[in-house]
This record gives sequence, C-alpha cells and structure tokens, in this order.
Amino acid sequence: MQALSTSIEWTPEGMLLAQPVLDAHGQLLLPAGTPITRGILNSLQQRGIDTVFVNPPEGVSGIVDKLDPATQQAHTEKRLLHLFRPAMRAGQLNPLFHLILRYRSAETP
Amino acid sequence: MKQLTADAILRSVHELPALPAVVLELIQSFGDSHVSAEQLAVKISHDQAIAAKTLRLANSSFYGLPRQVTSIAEATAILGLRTLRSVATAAGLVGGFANSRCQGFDFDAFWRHAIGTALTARALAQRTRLDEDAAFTLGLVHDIGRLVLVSSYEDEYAQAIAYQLEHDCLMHAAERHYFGVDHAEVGGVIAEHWHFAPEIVAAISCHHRPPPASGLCLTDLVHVADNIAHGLDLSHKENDMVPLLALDAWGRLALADGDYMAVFDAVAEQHEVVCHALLA
Repeated sequence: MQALSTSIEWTPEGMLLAQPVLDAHGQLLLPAGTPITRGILNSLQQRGIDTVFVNPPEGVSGIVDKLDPATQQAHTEKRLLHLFRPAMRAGQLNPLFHLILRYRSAETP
Repeated sequence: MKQLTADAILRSVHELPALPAVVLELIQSFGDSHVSAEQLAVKISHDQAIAAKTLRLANSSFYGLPRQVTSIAEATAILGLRTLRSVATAAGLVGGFANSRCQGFDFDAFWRHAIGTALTARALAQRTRLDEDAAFTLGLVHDIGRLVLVSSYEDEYAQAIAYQLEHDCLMHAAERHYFGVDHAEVGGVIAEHWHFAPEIVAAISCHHRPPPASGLCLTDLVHVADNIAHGLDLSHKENDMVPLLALDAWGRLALADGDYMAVFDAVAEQHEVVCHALLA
C-alpha cells in the first residue's frame, strides 16, 4: 500500500514510519518501520519536522480514524483503488467502486 | 500443474473432512416446503457443537430477540423454521472444516469474507424479494470449492497462491493456471454431489460469471454480494481484490443507490457480531 503523508500534529501513536526521517544535513534520524510514539513526535517537532510518511500497522483497526479528515479520505481512496485494481486495469467503469467510495467518504468526519 | 477433471474433484471429496450429516440435510432441505420444524429441531439438538453455536448466533444482536433463547425448539418457535435453518447451517459450516495446512491460505479471512457475502446476499435479497435465507446460506458456501482445493491439494494450492501474489491476478485465474478449473466450478461439482438445490449449485458454479438471464436469480445476487463483500474490505486481507463486476447482473438487481447504502450499513453493523458468534 502507498504511504500516507500526514502532519506531525495529526499522527497517532502506533503508526509505522513508511520512509526514513532525515535531518537537514541528510543524517538518518529514524529508519523506516519505526513505530511512532509520543516521544518521537515531540522530538521531531523540536527539530522542525512537521510532516512524515506513515503506514497503519497491519491488523490494527481504528488507528486510521485518528488521522486528520483529509488524510483519512486519501487513505480511503488509496485502499479502494487497491481493492478495485482488476477493474482499473481492465478499464471497467465500476458503479460499485463509486458507491463504496461515496459511502466511505460519508463516514469520514 | 494439475488438470482436474470432474471425476478427480469428486474423488477428492472423499478426502475431505466430512461435513456433519445435519448440515448436509439442512442445505439439501432448502426448497423443500414439507420439512418439519420439530424434526429439524431434534436433528440440530443432537449435534451439541452446532446447537451451541446456533444458540449463540440466535442470541446475538444480529437477530435482536426480545429475550435469550435456551433451546433449539424455542429458537425455532421464535425465529421460524426457515431462519433457524440458515442459522444452524451457518453454525455447522463454519467449523465443519478443519484448518488447512496449506501455506498462504488464511482460514480466518476466508470465513470473514464468506460471512460478509452471506450478510450482503441476505440484505440484497430483502430488497429484491428473493429468498433471504437461501441467499444467506449461498453466501456462506459460494467459495466452498476453495476449501475443497486447499484441503485436497495443499501443496498445489500453495503454489497457486504464490502465483497469484507474484502476478497480482485474481485467485480464480491462478487456480485455472494450476488446476485447469477454478473454485467456482469445483464448488458446483461438490454442491451437486451433496445434492444441494439446483439453483444453489448453479449460483456456486457461476458466481464469477453470471450467465445471461431474463430475470433476476440467486446467481446474480451472490455475484454482486461477493463483489460488495470484497469492496467493503471485510476479509481484512491486505492483498484482497474485488473481482470484475458483471454489469448485466448488476443491472438485473435494479437497486437504487440508497438501497446499496442501506445494504452497506446493515452489513457493517452485523459483520463483527456474526463473525464473533461463528468464529469465536
């Protein structure tokens, strides 16, 4: 799945870093795969980093709901495009895709 | 690669863990209006595991009964014969198959998807005036051919799963590559062998390719229900995918957008409850 770009302010604990975090000099601060904790978020904010790429951990439900609405919506669309990839590859106009996208979008606050 | 014939599929049935006799009788009795509620209740009560699970599902919020039922006879009286039959069938089917050792096959995800399809089929049937209990059971068994393949051809099916992951293709395409048939055809052969009602056999066989039809039938219903269950992401499988939608079957359902939204809501509300009752 493609990673989500999210602001530090809205990043819930438990997310996994999808890309390494580097400082202004290109030095590695945190490797990809690091679980986000409150301490890490505080430390990144102190270093002036305000956006990270994250992935929700597998098998943990509800964590995406803690992201900001725009990121949740992006996550929903990416997930649906992933699920409906046979139709996308075949160029099928699938009415179900649009209905579920509308349904999921209405769930996003 | 192995080319499976109908005979080979039937031979493999004998290697399957036998479904409890009461489950087969319940499924075979769909369409039989002469079946007696008392006889059915006695048969279900004789299988303690099925009876206990039936009561757990009957008492879950899915059915919203005004009070707890404590016996199959009581559940029959409150839920009615037809509903009890579909509840007991579900209870017997889920758990009737031992967990396969086939590498890469996610048994839990399989049943989460089957239960999601059953709930969706039932909700669609309520809005299209098809038999909702038959639709629920059909949703549960629509992929039964997959269980047959993973149980009888563990190593080959593991290779088919690896092929599917490598090529990111639909599972029935990977099955055709490895076996010459797919789980829908295998399921149809098995369902016929088990003397399921003809419309259930046809719907299992054709759930990925509903044939042209003059009117709406259970095949159309389960095809759309299967697509919706995949689209709602109910299996929780990261690599899941929604098969191609047969637009003529979709058209025959002739439901409005609002109907689908209500179906999505109903399924979202019921899925975890029913999974908990049947998979716990």
